[in-house]
Amino acid sequence: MPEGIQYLLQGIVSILTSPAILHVFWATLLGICVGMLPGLTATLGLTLLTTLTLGMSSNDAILILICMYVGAIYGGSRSAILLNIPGTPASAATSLDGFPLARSGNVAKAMGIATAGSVLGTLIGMVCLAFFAPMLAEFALDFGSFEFFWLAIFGIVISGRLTAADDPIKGWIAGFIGLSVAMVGEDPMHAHERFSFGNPDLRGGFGLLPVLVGVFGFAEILTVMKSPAIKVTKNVADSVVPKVREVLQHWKTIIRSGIMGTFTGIIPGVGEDMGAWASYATAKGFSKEREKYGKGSVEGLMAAETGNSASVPGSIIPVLTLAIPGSAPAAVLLAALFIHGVNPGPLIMTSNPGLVFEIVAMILFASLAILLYGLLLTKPLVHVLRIPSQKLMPIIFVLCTVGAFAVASRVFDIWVMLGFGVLGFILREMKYPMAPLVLGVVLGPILDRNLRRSLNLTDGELIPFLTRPISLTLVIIIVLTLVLGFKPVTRVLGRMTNRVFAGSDGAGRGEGSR
Amino acid sequence: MASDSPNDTEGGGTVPSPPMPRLDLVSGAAFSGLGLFLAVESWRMARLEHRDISPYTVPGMVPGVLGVIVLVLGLVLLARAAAKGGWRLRGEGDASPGSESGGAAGKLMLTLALTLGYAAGLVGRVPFAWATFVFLFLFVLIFEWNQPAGDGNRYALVRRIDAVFIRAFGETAGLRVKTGVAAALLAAVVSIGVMFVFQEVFRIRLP
Repeated sequence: MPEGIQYLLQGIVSILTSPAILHVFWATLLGICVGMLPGLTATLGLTLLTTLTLGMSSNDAILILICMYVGAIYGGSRSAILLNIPGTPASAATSLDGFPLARSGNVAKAMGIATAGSVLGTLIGMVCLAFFAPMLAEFALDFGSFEFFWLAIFGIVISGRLTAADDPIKGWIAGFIGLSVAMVGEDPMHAHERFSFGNPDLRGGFGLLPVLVGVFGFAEILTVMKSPAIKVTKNVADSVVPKVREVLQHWKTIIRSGIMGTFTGIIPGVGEDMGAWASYATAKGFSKEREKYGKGSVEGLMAAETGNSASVPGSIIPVLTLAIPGSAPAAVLLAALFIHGVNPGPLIMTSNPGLVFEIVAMILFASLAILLYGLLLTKPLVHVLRIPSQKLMPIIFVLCTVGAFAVASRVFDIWVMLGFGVLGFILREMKYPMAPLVLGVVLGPILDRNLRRSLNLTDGELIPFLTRPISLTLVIIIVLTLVLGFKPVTRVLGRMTNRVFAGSDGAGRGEGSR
Repeated sequence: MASDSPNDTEGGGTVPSPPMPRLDLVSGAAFSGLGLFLAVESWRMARLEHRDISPYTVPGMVPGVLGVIVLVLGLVLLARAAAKGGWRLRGEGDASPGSESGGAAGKLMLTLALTLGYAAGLVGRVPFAWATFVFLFLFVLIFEWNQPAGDGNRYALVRRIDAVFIRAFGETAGLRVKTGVAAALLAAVVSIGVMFVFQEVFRIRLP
């Protein structure tokens, strides 16, 4: 750890004493604007910036992407509070209490509390990143091909279950479609073409970034353009500096939500939205003023914002230690790391020991920047929300086209973006979540390589897949998630539980109750 | 967590999702077909026996397994949708997205036509700056043609500009001319700006 502190200080000094500090300011501000605008998500912002930073040094590019990520997740709270429309899906829980609080005449207070929650959540997640990433990397050194195979399945199953909470089967279909998409192109083991049908463009497979731009950019543009226009009527007239006492009185909620958000972020492909929801639901469960939730509860707003922001560093933990993204934006970050020649994974603490702490320093600067902008620029930034979608969306589409093309300079990638955009739009209209699909595209090669390598090692035997402790743990979680995802099973279990509790209740009190 | 479940995940859906058995039936059938296609194509894929590779590492192994899983999940969805009456041609309509208004469908089609025309038609055939200019100009002009009302705008400058055009060309024509001029200006600034930022500042090739 002392080495870690040394790396952290080096990271801080190198940002402070170089033009990188300018990147912190512009990238975070851009991130806030991207996050604020409904239709522009953190994933799209990161994808477009990845193409823009291709020619930069890896440190500058990573810094810019992290500032965009932190800024966008925070920025989503602005429109959630002002318009009741989450700027990014991660802010959906924020609007539950942020909007009623603003509607009751406390716009500035809601903005201030959200800023405080975001900054503190990011800082808690950042501490967890510094503490747990080296530990997880060391733990992951024991991972073999069996564990990586199960981890890929675990990611798809959990992500599918949690991002399509009421219909997990759609989440799983999206995830397995994503894995299948990754199968197109040259087989990495034997260089055999799969599903390319003689097309030279398909031989290289579908690039992750054009797919992401399609699914999160073009699909979102289509959704926004068919929706009614948004009207901004509220103004921020009051001071947006929250009272320290008002923030500190929720210290338990802040710490709980921060830790919860971080751990939700660590789960592959789950991300900030679930971080916010899990923190919000838990805070409500523990709250003494539960009845205020949904009606403008400061505690609820704090929990949601702390949770989603803490998930940002949380979702970077598996990116660095396992090369598996904790969320859709983290998938872009992972792709960017590979593009810039940084190879994350279990060996990260040996091959690039300073990276984790340099990223901690970057997150620290990004969180300070959101604090600064939250306190100083809240009022002028509201004007960004007034840009009409019919002017903004075509500009974004131009950027999507350039972004899809720029990575490999292939016109084919523009077609990929268009195809996946239309497909993504149709699937979203049918309530299929997109995060598992993206995770599938990332995990496809990992699954492919490790399943075949494992089968080769065991000569086709399946028992060794289950006998190693980490594999077995993952298998148990996967099976439980799958079984509990089917409504008939949960109904039967629910009935059984009711009966057991009713029985014990009845035995204890001498009467049956439900 | 029932009442606090996610109602919008990134790229996800709205919860509680309205029942959509007919759409589920269609998508279930489509995914079953896709799964079957993947499984069959994987089975037919070369086994590379001449290279003496392990039969467990054949290229079709993993896509084949994935195809079977997609097929099974698609069939489950299909069966569930059929059990809920999704096979009926007429009946209780799906709550979404079939219930969209005609206006929304029209805007969607127009957006699709403009974006696909630009990215798949113009880009690569026409110089990028011109393609971008034409696309942006047409997009803004078409979508703002019938809604150029500047009276309600909170910015005094916008109201003043509107007044200048109305004085010069009359009420409706004036606002439309203003929309055209504004669209052309926006298109010029953005297309030149994108060229400059990408090519000159960040040294990135454009299509």
